[in-house]
Parts: sequence; C-alpha cells; structure tokens
Amino acid sequence: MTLAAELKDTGPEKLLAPVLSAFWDEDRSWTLDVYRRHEGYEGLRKALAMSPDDLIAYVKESGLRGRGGAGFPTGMKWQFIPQGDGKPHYLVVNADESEPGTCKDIPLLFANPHSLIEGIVIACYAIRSSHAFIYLRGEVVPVLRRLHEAVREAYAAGYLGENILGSGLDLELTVHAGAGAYICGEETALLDSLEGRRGQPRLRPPFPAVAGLYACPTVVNNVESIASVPAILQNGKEWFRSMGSEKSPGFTLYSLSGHVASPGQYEAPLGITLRQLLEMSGGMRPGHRLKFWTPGGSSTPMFTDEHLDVPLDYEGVGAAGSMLGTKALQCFDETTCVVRAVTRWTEFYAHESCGKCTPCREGTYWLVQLLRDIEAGKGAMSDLDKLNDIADNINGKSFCALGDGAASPIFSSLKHFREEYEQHITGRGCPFDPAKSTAWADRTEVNA
Amino acid sequence: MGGDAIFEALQDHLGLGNGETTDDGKVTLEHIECNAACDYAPVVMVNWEFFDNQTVQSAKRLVDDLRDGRTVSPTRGAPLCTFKETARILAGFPDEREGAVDAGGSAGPASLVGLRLARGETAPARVVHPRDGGPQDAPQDRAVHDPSPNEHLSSHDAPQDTSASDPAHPAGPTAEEGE
Repeated sequence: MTLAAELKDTGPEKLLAPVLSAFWDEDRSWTLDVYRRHEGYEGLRKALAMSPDDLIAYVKESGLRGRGGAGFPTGMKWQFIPQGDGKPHYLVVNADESEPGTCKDIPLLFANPHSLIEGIVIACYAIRSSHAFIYLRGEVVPVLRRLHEAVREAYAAGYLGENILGSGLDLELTVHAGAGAYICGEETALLDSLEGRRGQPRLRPPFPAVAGLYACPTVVNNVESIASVPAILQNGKEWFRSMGSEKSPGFTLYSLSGHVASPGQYEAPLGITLRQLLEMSGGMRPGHRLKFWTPGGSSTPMFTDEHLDVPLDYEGVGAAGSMLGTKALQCFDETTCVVRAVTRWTEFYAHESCGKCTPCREGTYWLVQLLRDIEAGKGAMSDLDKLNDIADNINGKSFCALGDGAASPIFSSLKHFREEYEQHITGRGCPFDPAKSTAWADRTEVNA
Repeated sequence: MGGDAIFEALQDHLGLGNGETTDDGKVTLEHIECNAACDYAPVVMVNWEFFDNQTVQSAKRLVDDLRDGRTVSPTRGAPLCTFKETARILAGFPDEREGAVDAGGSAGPASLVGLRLARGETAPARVVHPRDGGPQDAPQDRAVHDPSPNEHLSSHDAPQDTSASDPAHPAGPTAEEGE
C-alpha cells in the first residue's frame, strides 16, 4: 500500500510509526539488553561494513534532515568535514533541549539512550572522529543518570572504546552536563560552553565544520537526528524514504502539549497534520476548541485553527508561513490570553538572551516592558506598532537565531490576534480569567 | 496551564520571593524556565528531579513535606538525594545508589500515548502512575486526599488531584473516603 493510500485510512495504527519509541513501554527499556533485543547495534554492524564515504552518501540519500529545528540534511553536514586534514574531528550531540514546548529528546534519552549512542558510533565512523560529546542540559538529572549508565554499558560491551567490533575504530564518548542555558542550544554557543567558556554564539564563518570544537572540524547534530541513523542503516534508506514526503522523508517525534486531552509523544511519518493527531488522541480538552498553536516550539510563528490541515513537514509548514522547528505542538484553547502567552515566552527570551548583541539584549528587555504594560491594561495603541518595530529591529539583525525566535511570536500574534491586543488597551486590562486556562480548571470540585 | 498559579501560591505559602530561601534553609524557591517537559505540564522540580502534572495543592504539600523532612518521590527518576550529591552527578560522577538508574520506570505515561495508540490500545494513559506499569483506569472521582498533618483541610484552592501527580501520596481504591 502506498503512503497516500495509508494516509486516507484514519486509524492511528496506520498514521503513526513508532520506531525510536517502539519499545519504550518495555521493562528497563533503556538498558543494553532490551535495546539489543530490538535489533540494537545491528545498524552499526552494517555501517562498519561500508566505507566511511559510502556511509555518508547512504545517509545523504536517505534524505534524513536535522530534527533540531533547521532541517539541514544530516548527511550533507557530515560531508562538509574536510578529510585528510590531519586534525582531530569531533561529533557533538546537541541535547540542550530547552525551547518552550519542546520535549522530545528528554523522553527519548530517558527511555532509549542506546539509539543515540549507536548513532554516535556510526556518525563518528563516517566523519572519522575518535571523540564524541553529548552536551546535555544540566537540569534533567534522571536523563543524565541513564546516559552515564548507557555509556558505561556500551564501553563494557565493546561498542565504545578501542577497536570497536574489530573494525579498527577507536571512539571515546564524553557526556557533558551543561548549566542550563537556552543559548547553549545554539551550536556555536554550545561549543564555547563545552570548551569551558561562557556560552555565547560565535561569529560565522568559520562554520563548525571547519573550525568547531577546539578549532577543529566538528559536526553538531541534534539528538533525534543521530538517534534516527541506526534504524536507517538497519532497515534501509528505501524503508526510510517510504515514509514522509520526497523532500521530508522519514519518521519523527511530534510532541503534543497544552490544552489537549492526551499530551505526549506521537511518532509518525513526516507530513501528518495536527487535525489527524488531535482526532486520534481525543482532541482538545473536553468542551474547548483550539485557538492557537505552535508547530515547532515558541520561536516558530504561531498558527490558528485555520492551519489544522497543514502537513507537518519542512516544506508544508514553511509554505504556511512558519517553521517545523522541533515539532513541539503546543496547543492553546479559547481560555488562553494570547497576550499573556506571548508575554511569558518573551520573558523567557529576555531571560535567556546572552547579552552578546545589542538588538537581542535590549530588544527583548523592552518587549517585556511593553507586553507587561499591555497585559496590565496600561498600554497605549501606539505600543502595538512599537512592539512590531522592536521585533523588526531584532529579527535578522541579531547575532544568532535566539533573537529571530524572540521576534516571531510578536509578529505572528500581532498578525492573527491584533484585536485581542487592542482589547487589552481599550478595556484597560486582560479580558481573560487565567484560572480558566489552568490544567485543573475543568476538573470536578472535590470537597476536602 | 497553571505554572503561574503554582508559583504565586508557593510564594504566598512560603512567604518567599523568587530566588529566596526559607528561614530553616530547607527550601529555595526559584522560577524555572522551560524544562523540556511540556507534555507533563505543569512541572515542579526539586534538585532537578521531575514532579509532573502538579497543582497548587500538590505543590504546597510537596514543599511542606520537604520542610518537615518527609520523603518525597519524583514522578520520573530516582529518589531525591542532597543537592550536593546532585551536583556530583552533574559534574560527571555516576549515581552509585542501588536502583537509582532504574527508578521511575522506562517512560512516563505521556511519553507512551502515541505508542499505545499505534498499537491499537486506546486507554487514556494520563492518570496512570508510571511505576505501576501499563494503562489502567483510575477514575478521578475516587482519588482520596491524604493530607499532611500540618495542612489545613480547607486550605486548598485547587481541586482534588490524582495519584499520577503525587506519587508520594498514592491515593486509590484501597483508601476509603475519610480515612
């Protein structure tokens, strides 16, 4: 059956495609034993039987694209590493997941860390690296514990260390816990932080592929991108391309959150729609309707209920005016005040702005001041244009993408919900009751 | 989702502002930024361990228990250790405690919703305690509040919660109303 035919069938069994999450419900799913029972480290054997260049070409042909937000082809990133340059090469895995709404890598690493480790070994073989790093945000100690244990198991079983599976490949893997800064998810800031410096983005070029960690050629990949590689090797690039679309092939983790009946992780072929995901999972919480949502975390321009049928792949979301980002589908119902939500996001960006460049440091600060005034009913109509103007001065003019991310909820909320901003100003306050948007607002009262 | 309400309630309850510590040194209250757990929102963290699906009431009880030295268990992850020990883990020293890596089960309920649907299972996994394993019906109206001794019974400004968000106080069919 072709995928198009499959998509017509609306059953969740047909629409979803658990690969990375396929055995998360098994007892001790994070252990090497369970992982090996599910063909774990078989993809590595296939990879080691290929030449590194062929392996890079294979991953490129599979069409795998970065799952961290930008969607850059993973194989191409590997190909950029200059070979025979006599310098050490590094692979750095970006596990600094901290975009509001994004919550895929943390459950993945908690339940199935070996898929990442296997992917790392494969990637390092391809780019001829003998030292890889996992940069994990520091605030998730339960995940860090399992990564420590999984790496220990992998060393003990000979998947890491010297002469891996008799291939002659030597690989050291270091798990590094960051101090919990959003900016360290930006790849060059991550490298600075990993080197022991304050996490601030670097001027590019040179790009990390040329001068990354310790000024050596470095690949920085998202957790999910690397963790998807073993399954591609094991099941074949054709299998991978049989899911999703021509330009966005494969499976991915969608994270539903917010005012939905069943928040959580849904692994599906790229191109599924929010309508399909909501229909299979019970929709919005009972008695409420979708008001606005983000396709890929707070820094992707927000959508409304008009966009329920946008295919959630890189091209589909892009064509509708947003970005697929991290597939963090934060859904808000009609009880939510847009101004309040945007204010909270903007407070986040102001807090997380590293301060290196003026547009972002000053711009996010002033956006928060204006938004708080508007939320409190102290705003003026001219403030709306001012918001737009400040966001315009950040967007595209800041040092890294954090600034662009801060601007996008401002632009998109003003575009879709300008009237609601105006109500706050003319009505001298917020027309919404925040208690109604809490997770417990509709639960039956119990006398205690 | 309620994070603001929880934070405000804890500030009132503890008489603290953001970043301040109680006189007994037991609890420091800090507003945290995104913690990659929106599917378990609202989330409170203690020593970087997850306390998922919180309410105003469960969060208040959590800090009361911490101040009184009662054991609290995170929703996902290992039993709490001291913050000094947490800092050691962050510095790269594995947690050597027996069962610490295993604790919390393979994945929380929200992590499994898609997988269960794909398998054709439809039971909502939302109110299931992760350590109890598979999905089971836990009707919310049967959840019985088990208050801490120092909690005034009429002090709750949030409705009753289920055991899913408060594993330290399992409430279920075994406890009778009024016990």
